[in-house]
Amino acid sequence: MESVLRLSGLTKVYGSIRALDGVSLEVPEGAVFGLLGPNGSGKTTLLSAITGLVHRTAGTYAWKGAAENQPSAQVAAIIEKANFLPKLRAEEQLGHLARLRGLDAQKRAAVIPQILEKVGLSGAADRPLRAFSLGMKQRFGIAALLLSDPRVLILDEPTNGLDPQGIIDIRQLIVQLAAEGRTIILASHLLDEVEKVCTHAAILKQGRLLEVRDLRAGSAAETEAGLLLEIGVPPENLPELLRLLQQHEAVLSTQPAEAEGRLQLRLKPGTDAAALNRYLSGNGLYLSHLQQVHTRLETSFLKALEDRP
Amino acid sequence: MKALLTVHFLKLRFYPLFWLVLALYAAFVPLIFRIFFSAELTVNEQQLDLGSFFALDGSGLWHYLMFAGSYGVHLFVLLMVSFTNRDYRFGLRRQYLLEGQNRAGLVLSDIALAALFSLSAVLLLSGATFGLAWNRGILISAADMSAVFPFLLTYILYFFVFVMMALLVNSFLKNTAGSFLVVLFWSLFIEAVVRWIDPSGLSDFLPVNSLNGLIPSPLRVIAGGAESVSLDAAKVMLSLMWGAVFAAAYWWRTNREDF
Ligand SMILES: Nc1ncnc2c1ncn2[C@@H]1O[C@H](COP(=O)(O)OP(=O)(O)OP(=O)(O)O)[C@@H](O)[C@H]1O
Ligand SMILES: [Mg+2]
Repeated sequence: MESVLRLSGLTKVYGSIRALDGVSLEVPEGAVFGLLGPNGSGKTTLLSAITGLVHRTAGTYAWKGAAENQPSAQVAAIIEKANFLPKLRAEEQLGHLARLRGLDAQKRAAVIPQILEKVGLSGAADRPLRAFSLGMKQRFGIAALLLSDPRVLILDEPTNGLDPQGIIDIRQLIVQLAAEGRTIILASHLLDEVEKVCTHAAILKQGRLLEVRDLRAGSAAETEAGLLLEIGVPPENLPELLRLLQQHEAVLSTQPAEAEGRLQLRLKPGTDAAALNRYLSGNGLYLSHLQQVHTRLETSFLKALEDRP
Repeated sequence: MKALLTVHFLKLRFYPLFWLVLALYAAFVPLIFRIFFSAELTVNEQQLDLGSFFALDGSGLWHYLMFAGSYGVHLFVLLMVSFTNRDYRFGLRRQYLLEGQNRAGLVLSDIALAALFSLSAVLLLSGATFGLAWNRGILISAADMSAVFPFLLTYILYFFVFVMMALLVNSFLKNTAGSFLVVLFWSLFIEAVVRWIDPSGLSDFLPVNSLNGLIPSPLRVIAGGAESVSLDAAKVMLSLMWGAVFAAAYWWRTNREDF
């Protein structure tokens, strides 16, 4: 898949703090790309750097269709706090931003009510933003992003401070926008949020990229790597199990799992768990446990949370 | 840049300080006039009734008001700085950049606003002049107007350079009261003190001293120190240069800034 954004060694230093430290990654077109990391890990800094708000210290970024290290007109972003004038009425504020996006009076009149409708704020068009609840403000932020019908949306902590229903609403909106074919880059410190809406996750810690994960079930990454299984036998059968696995050409690697008598192993791509089970039982070894291990983010994220400063 | 300037105007419409500054400035000029003309001043140990002493023909009145009105520049300094900081406080400039504007656009629209504020200052002042002239039965002839015209231009320049200086100071401080006070104290005391203790005379080139050459004091004519009000061409050039320096430094600073 073609990528819309490519980072290479992106680095940002504030005084003695390396807010971003050599981050390289690619965002595939159409992805819902989650940037996951604890507070202060550099998520906002990364988003600010790729939109030209802050100057890079080193490294490069490149948007599809734009010059290297230049922000792209195809991208719309809300970064950190809501950047609006509390006094202005919602439609007025959208009007200002639409002017900056180059929409003429006719277009503005057509597009603004449509967008407010889409984010469920039609009834609040003539209310000042300071009278908006947190959830309404977040939805308003998304409305502002849609003015220019961008290919890429950047959202920084879009569900911050919302109640459960508000969170669900925003998530649905994000999923809907992704379904329209837009690429979405989303920063969050909520593991759960990223797992629920994202197709990809990048985990940041102290400005460094720990890993990028393709979260789609049966994703290319998963099939490519082969299945990860956890199997178990009574502890006394473990040496026999290991011996049999070593002789089986489809087993790429094994490592002890947490529970006693259990192993994690990775199979060659294209091999399935049933074939392995048949092989073992054919050799007189019966498994007490067999389960596919899903590549969940939890462990990586917990690792990122460990020994925080 | 044009869209950004339009957006600034849309915001100014509902910005109370904007209207307050315009109203205060419009009221300030005739007020100073009244205070001066009802006062008796002691100059060279002589009691002077300024009203009778200063020849109040059309251009004289104008010069007088320009001198008084030039102190009102601090109102516009306050307006510009406060308006800019409100943009920063609510993250508006950050959002404008995200909406596809660039830093050059931010700087250019600020420069345009500073110029427009300066223009409105001179227009308000001229309005006050015509009002007072009518009120006191002083005739402003076409000859008066053309004699005063170059001074109106330097009056605009005076305001513009002051406001640009304030923008530059504020790009470092990002604080309305701080920037206002720095510009106020610099122009009223600090620069004068620097010039006083500096033996080299180089400090004569400092901005406020240059700018003061743009608004000749009619009091010197009253006190017999000069034949007539006149412009110092060197100081006009210096002021232009300072305007360019402040604008360029503001540009440089904004370009390097992280939002
Ligand atoms: N303008 C700045 N000046 C100095 N240091 C900064 C600045 N902005 C961010 N930092 C530092 O850079 C690091 C990364 O900050 P950043 O805001 O990118 O983190 P984050 O992942 O967005 O955190 P959060 O989840 O709290 O939003 C932090 O250590 C922060 O203190
Ligand atoms: Mg952040």
